[in-house]
Amino acid sequence: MLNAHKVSVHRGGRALLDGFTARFAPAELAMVVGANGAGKTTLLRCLNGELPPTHGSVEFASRPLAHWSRVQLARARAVLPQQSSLDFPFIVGDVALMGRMPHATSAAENRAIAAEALALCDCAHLIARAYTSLSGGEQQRVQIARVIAQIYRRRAAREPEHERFLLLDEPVAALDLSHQYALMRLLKRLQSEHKIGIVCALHNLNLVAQFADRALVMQRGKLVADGAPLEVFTESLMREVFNLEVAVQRHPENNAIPLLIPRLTNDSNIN
Amino acid sequence: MSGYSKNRRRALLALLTMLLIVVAVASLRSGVIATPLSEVVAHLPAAIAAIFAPYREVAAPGIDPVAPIVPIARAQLIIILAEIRIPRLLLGLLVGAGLAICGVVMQGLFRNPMADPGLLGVSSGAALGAVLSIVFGGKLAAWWLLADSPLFLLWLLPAMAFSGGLASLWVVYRLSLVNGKTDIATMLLAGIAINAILGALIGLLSYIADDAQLRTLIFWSLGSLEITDWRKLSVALLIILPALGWLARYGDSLNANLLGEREAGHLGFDMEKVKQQLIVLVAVVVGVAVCVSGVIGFVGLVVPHLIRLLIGPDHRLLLPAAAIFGATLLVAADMIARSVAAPAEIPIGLITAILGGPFFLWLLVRYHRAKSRA
Repeated sequence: MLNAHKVSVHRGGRALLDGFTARFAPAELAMVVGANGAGKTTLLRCLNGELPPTHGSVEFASRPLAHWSRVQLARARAVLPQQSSLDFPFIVGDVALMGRMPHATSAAENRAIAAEALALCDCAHLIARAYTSLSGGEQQRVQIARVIAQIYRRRAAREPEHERFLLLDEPVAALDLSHQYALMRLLKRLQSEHKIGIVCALHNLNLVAQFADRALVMQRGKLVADGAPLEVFTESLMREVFNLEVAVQRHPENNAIPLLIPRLTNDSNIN
Repeated sequence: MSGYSKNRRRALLALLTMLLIVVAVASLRSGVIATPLSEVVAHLPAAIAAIFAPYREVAAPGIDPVAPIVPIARAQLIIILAEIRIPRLLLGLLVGAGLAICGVVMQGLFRNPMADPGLLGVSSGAALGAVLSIVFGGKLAAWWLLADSPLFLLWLLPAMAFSGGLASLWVVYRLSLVNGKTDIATMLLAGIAINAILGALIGLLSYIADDAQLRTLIFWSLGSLEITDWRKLSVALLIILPALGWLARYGDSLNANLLGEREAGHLGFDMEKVKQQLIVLVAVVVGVAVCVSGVIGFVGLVVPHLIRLLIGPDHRLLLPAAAIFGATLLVAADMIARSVAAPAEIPIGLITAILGGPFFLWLLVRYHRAKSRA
């Protein structure tokens, strides 16, 4: 359980995050949406322990984040930031292996896990390439493989289950459409088969609608809606939060999935 | 799947070590009197014994402790090896390995392949300290009524160089603290500014120095591996060797740091602590190196690059490999410095700059091309 209680972050007299309270269960795929500057990244940085909140507290597995040792925390939860700065020609396989650094597992086990994580991200064919020679989208997939390798367990080597979490900030920004959907399906699988809790900030609302168990909508640092996408994504909320006129329909193949279609007229008053 | 298997790592390190041994033996052979390899090998044990002989300190030159057993020419060779060539070789190995490993650490820490130990102001801080002691040392000694103490002047320069390096690094480090965390970009800029200020001060001091001081100053600021004092060398050995061993253990954290500082934190590394430890270790190694051999440029920049081109960016291999190759390169450069204009000696800093400068420019062009292609 990842538990944020009345978390606030103040910077220069402004509240980047304002009294955020939510509990994230293991094996739950939660997605955070909101306009630019709504506080999604600040929230993720509080949840991952990078940013100590001004007020409030974050607990992971019933212990405050500050009470965790770095290595223990690194073994249980992985973090993918918005951008990566890796600019050295590591071999792709070695980049994925870096995810295993906090673990004391054997070298052979680490290599097997890194290879599996790369395969899950459709990067198996890139394993011997230099990271710097890849396209932006390929690099992003390798980084995703690295964070998956960090908390991945092979079925053969299953230990007693501890809670594991994956925190992702805008993981699909650099990906093409088919890899966006592939990643979403992968997250779904990690959540349902591997019981990994996932918190993911995302801009594409239709991806959220189709894959998330739970959508958290943020506006000006506050949580304004929290629930299943079908309950949360209403025409009035979209107008209020994104300043966008949409028609909310249902997915033709599944009635439980809302489908957001921007309206042709009067669609925005941004200007 | 991992880029380099254990066997290949071992093979590479073994190859580099072999190269090092070849160059080291060649350096023991070369000098004003070139010595055949067989004689070097034959006399090495006696020379090493002479180094550790307890009465070495009191033995005046010319009076040979092993004279009863060996003829004069052989005794001479043993003394040359024990008092000139071996210390010089050890100093070259030590300084070369130290500068190269510090270059690897700086480049990894700054995530910038153009970084260099000189960047943080360590070298120029140490240089200012040394120049101060050269120009004002005599007056200072007179003030403190120590004019007749040669030991004071002998130790003043290294002490000043070391504290100068540490002080300028401390200033750069403090300036780059933003909200209690070291900001790498600010650190880079602060280093450039401090380097400029220190350079101006050194220029001013050389302007007011007298002719004799200027000669010492120039020779020292261009670097030299000339060493005649075993005590000085032992101190350098005792400080640099453990620091090198310690630095070589940071391979994993430097690899993680290349992903980004936050990413390294999420992989379980305390990067604030790692940064502080690495910065102090680099200051110690570069400070001591500047003390004993003056300012020798480009080794810290060029060696990490060459090795990275050969074996990739994995610091677990890069750190030891760069240390071995840096030692090899500096000993080779010293052989050139001694032999080009023999019996006179060219400052080794000139050799490394003449060879390293064009190489750096080539790297720069290559780096920009790679960037614009990406």
